[in-house]
Amino acid sequence: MILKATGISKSFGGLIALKNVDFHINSGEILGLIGPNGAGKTTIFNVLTGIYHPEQGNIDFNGEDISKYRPFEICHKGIARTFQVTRAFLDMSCLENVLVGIIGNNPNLSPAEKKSEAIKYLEFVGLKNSVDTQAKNLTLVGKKRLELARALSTHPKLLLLDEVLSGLNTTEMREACDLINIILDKFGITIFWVEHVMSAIMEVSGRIIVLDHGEKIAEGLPKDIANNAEVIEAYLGESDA
Amino acid sequence: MLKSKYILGLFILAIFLSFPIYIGKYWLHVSIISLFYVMMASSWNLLAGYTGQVSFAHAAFAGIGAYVSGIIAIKLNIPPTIGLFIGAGIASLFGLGLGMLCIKMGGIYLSLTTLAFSEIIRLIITNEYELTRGTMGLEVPNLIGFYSKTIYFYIMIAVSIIFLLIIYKIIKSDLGTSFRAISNDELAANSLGINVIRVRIVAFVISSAMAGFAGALFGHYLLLITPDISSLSQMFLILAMTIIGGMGSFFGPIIGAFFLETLSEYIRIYGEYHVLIFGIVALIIARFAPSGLDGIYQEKISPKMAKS
Repeated sequence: MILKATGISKSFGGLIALKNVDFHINSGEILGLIGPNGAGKTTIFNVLTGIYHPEQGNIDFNGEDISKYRPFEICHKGIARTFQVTRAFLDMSCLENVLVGIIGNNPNLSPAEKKSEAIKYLEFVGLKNSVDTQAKNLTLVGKKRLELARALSTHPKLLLLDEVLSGLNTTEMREACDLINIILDKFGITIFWVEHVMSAIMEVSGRIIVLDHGEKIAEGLPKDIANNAEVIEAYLGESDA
Repeated sequence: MLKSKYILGLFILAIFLSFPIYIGKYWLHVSIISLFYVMMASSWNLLAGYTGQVSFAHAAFAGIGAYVSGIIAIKLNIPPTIGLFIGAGIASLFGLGLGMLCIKMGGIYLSLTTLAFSEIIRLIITNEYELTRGTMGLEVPNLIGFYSKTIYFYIMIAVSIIFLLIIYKIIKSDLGTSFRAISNDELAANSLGINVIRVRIVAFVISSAMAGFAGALFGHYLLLITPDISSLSQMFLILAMTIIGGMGSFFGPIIGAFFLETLSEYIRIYGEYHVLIFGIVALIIARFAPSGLDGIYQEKISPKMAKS
């Protein structure tokens, strides 16, 4: 087990975003997180990465409680993420974007090592030809790939992906799903991802947890989740019949 | 291509270094003031242009440097050459404090807080009559012990070059990359393992130390320092120089400082209207060259030269 969250609660004013959520992530798995809009999926990511601190509960990551840490400290511990709405450094080149991740985690490398390391990750995500391109000139897919390269450059043990597939066409989705599998196989990075595209998350994830109104309502294998009455109800609404 | 740039740079420097031979005392004085603004605008650009912290306290730091160096020279007989560094040190301490105060702030809130700080400093300088002689101005000793515009001109050039080299080193280093990452997207930089708070404060400390040093240096040239040095009009001039020259670019503030200082000498004859002309120039640049004079060069002239 790489991460274990116990009794996580977080509210914004009167709005309860997460209510006593328990879950764990096994080392070397792809764990999916689904739920209707406003279920608290992104809030979970923000709590795990230190952007918000939970009001209650603790997050055990490799035997250490990280629930009070700040984002950069959590990154140093080995959790990296991408954002739902991409947050590339638009006025910087792709190379510089990835360099930021390396500077933040491996400042002692020589400039040449940093550069070759950055290029390695850009190549991996398929941005080999855009090394000197300004991030603002990339397409949406390009920006998503760049965020992935940037996250990988921090040498994470756990990678959080927030709706990487949204806005992509079928081919691009296929490629992204392949990439996710390769990240697990090649780098041995555990993946926790939020996704709206059901077919993809059902296919790629080994295990899925379902969130609704800030509470965990189901957890299990994809095929069990697909047939879970409570999950169907959360998505489709209660039937009157 | 690179070689020709070096030659051009050396050529400009050579012309510059020979200024005292053929330009009069008046224009030498203007050049010294311009160099002061080069230091101020470049170090402000490091903070505002690169890390995105638009501080209005930069002139106040120059005031702190100038008054600290001046007062300790008068009261404690500390030679101005040492006073410069003490002034810069005190200014950087204030920079540290102000930077820490602004940690949680961004955008307009940071600007307002630094603006308030700047006014507080100006009011203290104006009212602590015993120490600063208020608006009467404080007479301070000369840096080198005797008065020579030519020597002072060379000192200003030397210090400007050192400043610019330091700034250039910083923006090309990892720290500079972190600066730009933070100004692009603070949260993303934080999530990538950059200690955003530390980097932001470091930027504040470096730039305020430079402002303090520049202010002290300038004070020992003018021999009379008044609260004007830390006034907001001074601050807005620095801001205008950086923006008109090109914010977030290395050469921008240098070009802007010389351009505006020289321009203001030429339009001084129009009396009160010179502010109006200033405003029109700023308007035209903002409309037609939003990335400043350096931006025009980068976008229009440089690609053409590369083609031919």
